[in-house]
Amino acid sequence: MEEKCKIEKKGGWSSLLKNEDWLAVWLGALIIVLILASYNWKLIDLSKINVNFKWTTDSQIALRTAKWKNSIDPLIKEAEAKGEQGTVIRLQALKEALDQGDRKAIVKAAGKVENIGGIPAELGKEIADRSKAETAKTLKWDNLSSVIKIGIAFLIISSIGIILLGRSIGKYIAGFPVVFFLAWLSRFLAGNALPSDWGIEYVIFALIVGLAISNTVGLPGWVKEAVQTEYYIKTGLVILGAGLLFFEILQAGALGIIQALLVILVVWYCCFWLCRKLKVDDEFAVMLSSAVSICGVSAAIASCGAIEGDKKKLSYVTSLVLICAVPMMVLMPWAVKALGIPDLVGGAWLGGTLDTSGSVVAAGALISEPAMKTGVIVKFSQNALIGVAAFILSIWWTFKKGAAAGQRPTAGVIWERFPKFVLGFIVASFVFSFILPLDTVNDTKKALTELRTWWFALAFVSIGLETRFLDMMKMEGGRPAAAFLLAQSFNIIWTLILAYLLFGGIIFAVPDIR
Amino acid sequence: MKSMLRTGFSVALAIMFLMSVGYAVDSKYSADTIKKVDEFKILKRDKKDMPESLPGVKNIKAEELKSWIDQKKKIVILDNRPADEFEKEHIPGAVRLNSDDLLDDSKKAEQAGLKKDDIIAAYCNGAKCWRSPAVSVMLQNLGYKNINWLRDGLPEWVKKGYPTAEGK
Repeated sequence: MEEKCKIEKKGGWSSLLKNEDWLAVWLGALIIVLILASYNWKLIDLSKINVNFKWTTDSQIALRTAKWKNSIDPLIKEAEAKGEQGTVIRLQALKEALDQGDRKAIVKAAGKVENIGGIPAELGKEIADRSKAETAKTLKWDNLSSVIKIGIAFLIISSIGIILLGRSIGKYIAGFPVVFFLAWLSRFLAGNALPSDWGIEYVIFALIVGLAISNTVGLPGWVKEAVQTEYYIKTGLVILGAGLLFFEILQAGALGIIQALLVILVVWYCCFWLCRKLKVDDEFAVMLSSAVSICGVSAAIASCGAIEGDKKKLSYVTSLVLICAVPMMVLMPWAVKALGIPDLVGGAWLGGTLDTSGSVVAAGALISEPAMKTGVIVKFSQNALIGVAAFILSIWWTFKKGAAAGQRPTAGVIWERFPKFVLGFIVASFVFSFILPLDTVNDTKKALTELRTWWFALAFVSIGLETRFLDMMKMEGGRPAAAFLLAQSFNIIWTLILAYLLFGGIIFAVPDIR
Repeated sequence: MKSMLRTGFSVALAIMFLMSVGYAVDSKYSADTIKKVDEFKILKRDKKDMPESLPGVKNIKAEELKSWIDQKKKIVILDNRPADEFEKEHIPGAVRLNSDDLLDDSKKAEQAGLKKDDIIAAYCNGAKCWRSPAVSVMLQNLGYKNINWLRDGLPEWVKKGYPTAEGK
C-alpha cells in the first residue's frame, strides 16, 4: 500500500508559531531588534560581534612581497608623471618596508598609502589588512570569546524555535555546538591568505567539512537534530533583508518574476515532455518537472500534495535535488567567473536554476555580494509562485483524473504554499530602507552582516552533513534521474539566456544592486 | 499563545518607534540643512561623488590652503573625520570637529573654539566623503560666514607631498 501525499490543512493563528517559515521570521526579527536595541542603548559593543577570521603567516607575507612590489612600480611611475610627489614618497617607503619584512612597519607604511585615495589606497588597504592579520590574533582569547558568545546566543535563540516546532530539544542542544564548531572551522580555514587568494571561501570549506563527515564516518544520531539547513538559511535570509534597499528588491524582483514565469513554463513543460519520452510515469513526471523548474524540494512537496502523489517518489525527487545541488553550486559560480559573466546576470542565473535557497546563497556568495543578493531576489520571485503552480497543477490533475476523486482545489493553496519567510525579508528591507535613520542603518550593518554570515555558515555545513552521495547509488531505476538531469541541463542554458536578456542590460536597464 | 504573540509584536514595534523618534539631531538646524546632510550621506552610501560645489561655500584647493598656512594667515582648519582617522594622519594645525558630533549637538562648534567670522577650511577624505560638505552646510546654518571647502580633502594634500601630522 503506497502512502499518498495529502493536501495539508494547516493554517490559522497557530501556524504562526508552528511553521518553520514563520519561526524563521520571528527569529530573524528578534535578532534584528536585539541589535538595534543594543545599538540604541549601547547595551553591548557591536564591534565585538565582528569576529576576525583573516590570518596570514609570515611566510605567506614573504611570498607576496614580490607581487606587491610589482604592483607598486607602475603606480610610482604614474604618480611621477602626474607630479604627485607625496604619492611617490609614500609608495617608495612602502616598498622599503616590504623589503625589510617587518610586519608592523609594513602596516604603518601601507596605512600611509591608504590616505592617498584611489588605486594606491586599494593596494595599501590590501597590504595593510594582510600584514595586520597575524595568525596569533585570530586565535586570541578576545576573538575566540566573541565566537563563543555568538554561539551561545544563537543556541538560546534558535532553541526557542526548535521547542515551538516540537522537535527534540535535548538532542538539538547536544548537536548544535558540533555544527557551530564546524561552521567556525570552515570560516577559520577560509580566513587564511592562501584559500582567499584562490577565491575559495568559507562556503566551500563548510560543504567539504560537512560532506567529508557525512560520507565517511557518518553523522552521529545526536547531531542530526541540529542539522537544520532550512531553518538556518531562512533566518539568515530574513536578516539579509535588512541589508537590501527596498527599491533594489522591487527592481530585481520585477525582473525576477518575468524570468521566473518564463523559466517555470518552459522548463516545466520541457521536463514533463522529456519524462514522457523516457517513459517515466506521470506522477513522477509532475514532481520532477516542478522540482527542476520551480525550486526543488519545496516545489516537489507542493506538487506532490497537489496531485496526491506517492511519498516514496517524493523522497526520491528530494534526494535527487539535494545531491544535484552540490556540484552545481560549486561549478556555476566558477563558470560565471571563468566566462566573465556579469555579477548580476550570474546571480540571476543561479537564482533561476539552483533548486534550494541555501545553494543559491552559497553559490552567490562565491561570486560577490551583489550576485548573491540578485540570486536571492530572483529565487524568492520563483518561490513566491509555488502556490500558484500548485493551484494550477491540482486543477489540471483533477480534470485529468476525473473530478470525482480527491479534494477540490481551492485558491487558498496559493497562500498556504507561499514561503512566509519572504515576508520577513521584505519587511526587514522596508524598515531599514524607510523607517530607521540612516546612521542606525549604517552603524548596525557590520554586525548584522556578521550574524547573517554565521547563519549561512551553519546552513552550508548542514547541507554538507545531509548530502550523502551513497543515497544516489541506492536509487532504483535511472530513468527519472536521467530525465531530471537532462531537464536541469536545459534549465541551465535557458535560464542563462533569460538572465542575460533581463539582467544584462539588453532589454531593461541593469538594476542597481550593491 | 495569541496574546504572547501580540505582546511580542507590540514590543518590537514600540522599540522601532522609539528608535526612529530617538534619533538625536540638534533642533537648531533647519529642515533644509538636515535634508542636505541626508543627501550627502546617501551619496556616500551609494559610493558617489559629492556635489562639485555648495551654495555660499567657497571651494579651495590644497595649494591655496598651503599658501595660507605659509603666509601665516589666520584660519581655522577643520578635520571632520572620526578620531581614529585624525590620529592616524591630519593636516598640521587642524582642529577636529566630527560631523556626527556636530549633527547631534550644534554647541560642538563653539566648543571647538570657532567664532562666527573665522576663516574656516573644512576637509575630510576627498570627493566621496560626506563629512566636510555636511559640516560646511551645518556651520552655514549656524551663522558662520567664511567657509571654505577643501573638496578633494586629505588625499589631495597627501599627493602634493605636503607635511602631515599624527596623534591627538
